[in-house]
Amino acid sequence: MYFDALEVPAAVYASQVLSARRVDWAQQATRLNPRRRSAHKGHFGHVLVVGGDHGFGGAARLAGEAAARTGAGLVSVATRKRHVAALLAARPELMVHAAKPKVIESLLERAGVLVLGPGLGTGKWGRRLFEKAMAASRPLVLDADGLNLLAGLSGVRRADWMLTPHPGEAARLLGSCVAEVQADRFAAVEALQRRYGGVIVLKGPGTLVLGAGRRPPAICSDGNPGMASGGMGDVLSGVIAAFMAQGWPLDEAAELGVCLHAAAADRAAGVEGERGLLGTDLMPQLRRLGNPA
Amino acid sequence: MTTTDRPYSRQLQGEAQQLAFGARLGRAVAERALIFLYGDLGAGKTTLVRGFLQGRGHRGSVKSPTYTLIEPYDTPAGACYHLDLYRLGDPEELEYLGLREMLEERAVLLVEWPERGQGWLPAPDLAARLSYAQEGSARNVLLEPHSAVGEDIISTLSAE
Repeated sequence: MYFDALEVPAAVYASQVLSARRVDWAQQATRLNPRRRSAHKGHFGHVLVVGGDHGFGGAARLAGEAAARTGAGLVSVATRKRHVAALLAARPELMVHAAKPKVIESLLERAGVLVLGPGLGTGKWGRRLFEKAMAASRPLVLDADGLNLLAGLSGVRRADWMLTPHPGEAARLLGSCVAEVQADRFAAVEALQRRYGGVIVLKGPGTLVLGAGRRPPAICSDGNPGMASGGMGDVLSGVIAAFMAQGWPLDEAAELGVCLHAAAADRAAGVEGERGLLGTDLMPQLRRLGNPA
Repeated sequence: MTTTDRPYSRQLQGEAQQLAFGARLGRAVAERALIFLYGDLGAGKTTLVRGFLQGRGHRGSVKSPTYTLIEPYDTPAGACYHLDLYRLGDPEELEYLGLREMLEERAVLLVEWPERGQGWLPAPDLAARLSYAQEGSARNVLLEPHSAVGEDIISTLSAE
């Protein structure tokens, strides 16, 4: 992107209302301060990931691990019983539970922020968990099948949630089609925000973030086509939830999360290339970039 | 807000008809009116406003007031303000935006998301409700008068 001011006086720019703000990690990172020496895990929140139906257990792990690598104090995962042992073996820091109706309620009570949707499926198990988690009054990040289940409901609006659709999910939420969403992504993110409330993250090249306030949408200039791989979105939902759990307001958590995730992907792709980039490749980069000098 | 028993409804096929209807409405309004616009995103509120302004002789572009909240237009038929209150933080902000002056002026106010201005906005002269028709790009428009000014607008439209 190149910009030439064409000798237009600064006052002219100052008089214009922005239609979008460009954001990237280099600028967002300046918001992070080093942790206090006296910090303990209770200061950094508790994220609960709800998801991982049969065949999709990895999605819950990716979201949970990403939340932990982005600095959440505690991370729990509620998933299928069959996935518990594998998740614990891969990442023992996660508190992994079999998602049974009784257990889930006490887990929801203890969590500060929820990630609802990665690998959740839209079957009976997933729907049941979706209802329970939606009923818990906790701020939440809704992704993947959480969004697909939401698209089946009508008139649900919340101020304390974040929806992170890709264009396909956005089209389902709007009762529109992908081509229409992509033809005017700014209109689509605005339409989603007005219909569902909260903060909307419309993924894709130039991810858009839009909240409820007077701030125009943010467009992220980091990221690369290597991110078009299964699991990348699960990582993003965990990253954003971790910032929420650490006390950032929803819209700022979204901007921080989107930029950190994209910058981590750029860094990982810079080492080994874009093709074949995986969600797990982002984990070490999340930690490295999340601790700016 | 009371509704009289004379609403006016039309089905509009495609953007050209929506613009044409907006223009007719624009010509049917005298110099002062407060009009509330209701309808989902994509239901055609902005298209209606564009037609409305063209009907009042405006020739320039029509910008969405999404982040500015207000777009003023100085049309040959008089002043017109397009408001979108969705992003209004608090109804009280309307005072700072100069609502009182706009209402006292000889001007037409087209207001989207008027419910956000509750308590500060007076009752409208006319409410326009836009909705998707059953099929395709068709839209239903329903006009409800809430005052003598609103009644006059509907009489003018009905007489055409």
